[in-house]
Amino acid sequence: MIVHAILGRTARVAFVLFGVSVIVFGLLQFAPGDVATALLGPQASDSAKELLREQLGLNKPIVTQYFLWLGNTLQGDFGVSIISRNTVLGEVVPRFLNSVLLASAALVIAIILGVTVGIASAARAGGFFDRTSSASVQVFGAMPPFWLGLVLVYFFALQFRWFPATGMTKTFGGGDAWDIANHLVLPAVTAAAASAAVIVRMVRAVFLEVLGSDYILVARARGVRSWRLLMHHALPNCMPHVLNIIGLQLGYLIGGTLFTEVVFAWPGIGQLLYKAILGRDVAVVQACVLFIALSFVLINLAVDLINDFLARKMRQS
Amino acid sequence: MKDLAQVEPILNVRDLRTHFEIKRGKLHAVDGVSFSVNPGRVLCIVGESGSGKSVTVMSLLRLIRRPGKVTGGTAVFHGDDLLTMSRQQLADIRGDRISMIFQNPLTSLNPALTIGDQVSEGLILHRGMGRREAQAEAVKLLRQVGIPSPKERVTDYPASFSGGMRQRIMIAAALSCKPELLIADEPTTALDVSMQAQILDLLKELQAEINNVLVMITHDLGVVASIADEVMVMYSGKVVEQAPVREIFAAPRHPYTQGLIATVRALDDASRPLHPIPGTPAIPLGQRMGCAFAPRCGFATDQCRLETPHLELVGSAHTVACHVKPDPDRTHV
Amino acid sequence: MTAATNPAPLRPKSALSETMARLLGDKPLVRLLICLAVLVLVAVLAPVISPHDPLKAVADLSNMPIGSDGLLLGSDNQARDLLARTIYGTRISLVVAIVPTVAATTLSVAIGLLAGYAGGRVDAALMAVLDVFFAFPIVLLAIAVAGVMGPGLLTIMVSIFVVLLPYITRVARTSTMQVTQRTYVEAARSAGAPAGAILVRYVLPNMIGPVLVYATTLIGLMIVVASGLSFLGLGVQPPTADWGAMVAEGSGVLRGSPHVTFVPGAMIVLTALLFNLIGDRLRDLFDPRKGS
Repeated sequence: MIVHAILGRTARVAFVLFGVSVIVFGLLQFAPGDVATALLGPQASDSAKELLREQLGLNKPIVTQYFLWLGNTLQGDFGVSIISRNTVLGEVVPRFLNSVLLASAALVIAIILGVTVGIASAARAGGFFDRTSSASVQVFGAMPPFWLGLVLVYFFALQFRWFPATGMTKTFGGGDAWDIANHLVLPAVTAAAASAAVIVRMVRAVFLEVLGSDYILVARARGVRSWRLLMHHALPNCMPHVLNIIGLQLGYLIGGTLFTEVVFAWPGIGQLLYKAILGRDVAVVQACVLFIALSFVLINLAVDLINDFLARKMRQS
Repeated sequence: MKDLAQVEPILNVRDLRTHFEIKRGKLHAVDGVSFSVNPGRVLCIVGESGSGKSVTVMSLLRLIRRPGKVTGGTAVFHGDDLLTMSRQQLADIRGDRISMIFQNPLTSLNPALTIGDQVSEGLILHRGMGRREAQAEAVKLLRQVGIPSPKERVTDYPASFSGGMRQRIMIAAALSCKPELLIADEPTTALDVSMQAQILDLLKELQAEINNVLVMITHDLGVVASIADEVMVMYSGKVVEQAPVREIFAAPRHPYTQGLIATVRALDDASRPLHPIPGTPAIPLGQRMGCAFAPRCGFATDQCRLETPHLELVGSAHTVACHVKPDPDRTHV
Repeated sequence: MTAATNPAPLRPKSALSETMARLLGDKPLVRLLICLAVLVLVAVLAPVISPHDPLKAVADLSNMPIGSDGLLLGSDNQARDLLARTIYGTRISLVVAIVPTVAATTLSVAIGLLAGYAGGRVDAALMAVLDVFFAFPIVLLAIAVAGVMGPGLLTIMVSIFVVLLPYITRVARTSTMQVTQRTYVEAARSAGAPAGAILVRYVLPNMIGPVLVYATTLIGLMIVVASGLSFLGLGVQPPTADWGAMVAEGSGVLRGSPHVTFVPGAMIVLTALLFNLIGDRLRDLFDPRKGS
């Protein structure tokens, strides 16, 4: 039964990964102009282009090309960046790690902020705090991350000078932990805002539903009071939903991170993707898209597996 | 009877009013209800669904949620008014000196907490017991209410118990602090018939043992006959009749009570014709005039339709709110 | 007489007028729709109400502050009237959010109808393809599409269209499946009515409601995503006035003239907020879980 479920899920993930690879491969095909020019840049010589065509098998049928590309990609060979002339993998990996740092910080902020405000809103639904937070949630939910980033930079970096706006060049091996944290605050808040808004909204709804259930009434009739009621009686019943919510909005968080990196010149994969697109560095674009999509799929898979596990535990006991 | 009247009641409710603000207007779910219960007695509150029985007892412990609101009256418990005391004071009384058992055992237990956690919680909150001590006490309580091998099962979650077992667990939790007042809101309605009798016997037995007051809501007159000392009949948010149990069955004076009893007798005895009360229960919405039962009443006069009847004494401890007060023998001729 | 006694709940016409009555009877929604109408009016009448040409330098100096002489919102970094540019920016924001949403909804309904009604392998194949699209965070998908196509107004619209398609299709499919299970569709099927007729006459009018509501709730997010693409320089090219691009231009003079950045950004927030509120209100009104 469990084996069956895991196999089914694995098959689905395998198909999704195949689909992702097809789309990423397709990016190259849809790029306007000649593929070899796209990969090598307009300045490349004709002989270099012809050599690349030969290497990539561009004269072969498209299905063959796909498998050649897939084979190279699976071996970690994404080609060469036309901007930096480095291997694409060498460009992408360190920046990917920088992005993971930023996204993780943003996720932590979004979860802490989202869950606490969501619970507090639900605890006194319709009260002053609830109305204030609901209004803020609406505003932050409609706010483009790049603009929020600029507003934060103006106030907290330029006016109050609390935090640096940019200047993050090397995450690992650069400054000390304090320096990193200092550079991390504004970007992480920026990337977290929209996600936090979504989490507040959904956590509030989940809590309200649980707080309306009979066993909460029974607990109140037993003399249980606010804090214990929320944390001991309501929270365990909300946990699976909350986890699901966090999984569902990861897409927003990653999207927010991409913009944030551009605004704060954070040396991450979003900034790399942006520069690659402007520089028509197709191989780098492909690698960035593939890395982000892959991590998104794997994180979602992990969330699903944890949820399955929790659901099974509840049912068993 | 006189002696009983002089005993200080444990709970004295006067003119309790609870409204629900809904789209169509103000719903007078509890509309001026008064009653008191004396030590060691069992009071049954009887009425159709929607008559305000549940809202009455929920109002006492201030468990009414929006859009409902307790708007008036007093509920004096040992000299303190439950309706105006501080939240902290009330939380200290809830589950300790006043406990409640609810209708649906399937939804009343928290699925994410072990039954031991839930049975022992009152002891931890109100008796200051440590976790371990409270768990040991919970095992005893579970044994007392008839849960087999309680020591092993105390760490199980509610999902692995049947409906009847869960109601026993609820009872164990409610009685953990030996409350002076136990309120049971239709505790057997959601159970099958054989289980109903068992739970009822258990409640009776435990009530005798702790010698507390039991206020039980039911729409089942069979339950009333087997457990009640006093009976209070509610209709459309008001008390229409109140009397000791023998008198209610022997000489009911309100046409509504008479109708209820006739229905049950017909069910028990196939030779009698079945006389369900015609019409549907009145919804206590907006401004009201006259007796709420008048539209369904065979005895209704113009006075009934214009003037609201008030409770008046018709026996030593028997009150009824009816202008006509028909003789019981004249019922459904 | 027969018409009056014969209830016709499936007639699209009566259902439509009933729905309209319900929508216009809801005061909060009407207030929001009036705000939207004003916004649309601003976009349409931009040449009439705009005090200056949005593309030409009109001020003596660039980056004039808010409330400068003759320039209500001041001027931008190229001495153009910020108010005029903000007014003209309304046009692009509305177009790039609404046009792709309408297009994506239309195609999604068609796909969802076919897959939901056919079921079986067709449906399974569709779901598998949708799963692949859901593997991309929406912003990434939008950027990837825009990056491949090269900058332009059409690029943004295609990106938004591609982003929306899988999400709306999923809802259209679910809605179709729910409607298909109802008795009147079963009856029509067993009576041998042709599939096309069943889909158009019975399924479509009954499945479309939830899809439209859902599509509306996405417009606000799409305004934000579209403005993001413009901010990255993937949208309309300068000197055309576009809020996202204006934020990017303003970011260069953020220290001295923050209003050049703040004003267009605030317009993005307000517009997205307006659409979000309309979407939420519609969802509340039509949520089957909430009675009356």
